[in-house]
Amino acid sequence: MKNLKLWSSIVTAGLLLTACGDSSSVNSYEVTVENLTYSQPLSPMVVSYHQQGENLFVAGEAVSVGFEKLAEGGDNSDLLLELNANTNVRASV
Amino acid sequence: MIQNILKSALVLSVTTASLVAGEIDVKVVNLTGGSYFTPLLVSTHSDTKRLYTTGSAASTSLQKMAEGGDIADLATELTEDGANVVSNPASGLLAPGANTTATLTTDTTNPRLSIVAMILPTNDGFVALSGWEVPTTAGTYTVNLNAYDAGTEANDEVINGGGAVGVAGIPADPGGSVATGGTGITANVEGFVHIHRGVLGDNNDTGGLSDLKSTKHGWLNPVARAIITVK
Repeated sequence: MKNLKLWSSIVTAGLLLTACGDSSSVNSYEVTVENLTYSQPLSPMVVSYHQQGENLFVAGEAVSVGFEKLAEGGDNSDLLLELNANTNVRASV
Repeated sequence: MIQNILKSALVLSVTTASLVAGEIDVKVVNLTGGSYFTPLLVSTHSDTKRLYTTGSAASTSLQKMAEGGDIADLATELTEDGANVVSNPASGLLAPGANTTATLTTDTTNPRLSIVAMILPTNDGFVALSGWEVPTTAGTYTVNLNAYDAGTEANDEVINGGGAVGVAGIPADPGGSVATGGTGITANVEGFVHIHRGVLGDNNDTGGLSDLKSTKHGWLNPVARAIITVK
């Protein structure tokens, strides 16, 4: 199946450097996701870079409306809006 | 001034720690309820060597293992590549719930670990760890292993003794299945290595589509656990 290469550019100032009180720096990450199945496609995904504890979901707990729309209908737009409204998270497709 | 010179000397004297030859124990546990692993192949090998690539067609050596449990060609391939190889640590089949341990060495040329074995009864399913980087720090590490489909044979789920390359069907059920008469789930050969979709089975011992029992031969990942002790 296809490999998807995803770029996310992340500004780390608000996330990691508050203790240092330093100017912002930018880190870039390349995330490669491989679909290992025989014939099960994956809908457009969300890749998220976030602080510890800001999980996309917690097993045993209800998910957000945006997450529900992704899981049930493959629509990632509302989840992306939710995540990017959270200053502790940076998310991308 | 003298402090600066001493600091520089300290920096110059630091050398990169190299991976010296080490010994590891690799314990493999069969987590399934009703499936057996044929003779395991456990190997420490180079950074680049892999026994398969997901999404790509399996090699003939891998096919022989996945369809019939024959690890000889894979073992030869690895040995010729300079790998350390332990063949068949369990001296035969590894039953559901059972475990076996292989001891190997790692070194700078063989820093990665791979494990494969056919899952029986399946058409061409195999359990695998592929190119796992062995830690250099002493300790115990646990890795869950998934089942893969070699993609070289249709998952017809018919037990007919067929284990040779190019022969359809499942060689046997070591657990002593008495189901027969399955007409075959599918004739489709998938063509590439992928995560195994599992066993469908049925509960018809004299007919139906499958010779596997859905109540006995099914599993979900992980199918095995590897516990690696770095000494």
